[in-house]
Amino acid sequence: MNAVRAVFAKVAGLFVEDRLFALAIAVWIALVGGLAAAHAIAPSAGGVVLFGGLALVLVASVVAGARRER
Amino acid sequence: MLSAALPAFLASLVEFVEALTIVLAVAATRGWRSAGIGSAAAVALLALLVLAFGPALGRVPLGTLQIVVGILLLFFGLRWLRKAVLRYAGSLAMKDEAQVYERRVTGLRAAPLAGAGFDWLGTGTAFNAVVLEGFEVIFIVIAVGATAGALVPASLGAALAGIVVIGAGVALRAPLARVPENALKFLVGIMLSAFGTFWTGEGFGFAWQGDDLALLALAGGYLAAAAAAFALARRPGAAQEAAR
Repeated sequence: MNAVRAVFAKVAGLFVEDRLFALAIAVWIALVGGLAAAHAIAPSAGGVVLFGGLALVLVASVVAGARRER
Repeated sequence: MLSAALPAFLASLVEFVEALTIVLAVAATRGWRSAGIGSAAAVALLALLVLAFGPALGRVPLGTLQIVVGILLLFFGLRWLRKAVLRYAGSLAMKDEAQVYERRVTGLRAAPLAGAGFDWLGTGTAFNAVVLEGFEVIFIVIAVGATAGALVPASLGAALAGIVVIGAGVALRAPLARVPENALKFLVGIMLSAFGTFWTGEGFGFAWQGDDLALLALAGGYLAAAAAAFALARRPGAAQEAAR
């Protein structure tokens, strides 16, 4: 059981390192996906919205991470 | 086709270098038998996993595959990009394969050898390293290849990386400490994030201006975002340290 848990932890570690960063990515994707499903976002603008939010999440997380390490 | 082969090659290069460091440490301390058995068992397990789950990929609807792979690529790529920028900014230490090797060697030497018995520690250490890094290689190949119908070029890219790293490792019998790991992670992080955004958007039904050319625009956008993040986060003197 411990070995299975360890394998899962290692596989999860490939995708999640900073939990807050991963959560922010997940929330943004879910939000944009929800808007797309509700047709509340134009298909031609959706990609820009998806990218813009993720880029902001990246910048914010790097800045926060740098402050934490100081 | 090159758009799948190149990221697969570069990302696999990083993974193979990391696995090689640990396998070499096992070989130097516990012997080539332990390193060889552990690595071979790991490759066999990975091959079994690919044979067992690979054909199922063809049965997944393309839209679902694009969303699942796209989201996983975003988590993976943005994690690498974030880490690489934090390293360039001086907030995280650069990874040094020579140091990793020395740490592993010290740890493995501290444990006594089993004599004529089976060396579980050495074999297990090599097995773990190859399974974990190999799993990442498989994920990257599937992620950049499956959704674009370019599994063969992506696999060839990864195989070439394996040949280059294993060849260099066998020739040098030392960890490949001169491989610019952070630069590779930065570059691959940008590529995978661009792919991830593209496929997730496709899965959501978004229309990309210029179709596949949008990948270049996305890569440029992530490069700009990473540059902005670096400018905001950098520690004084970090650029000089990174260049050293």
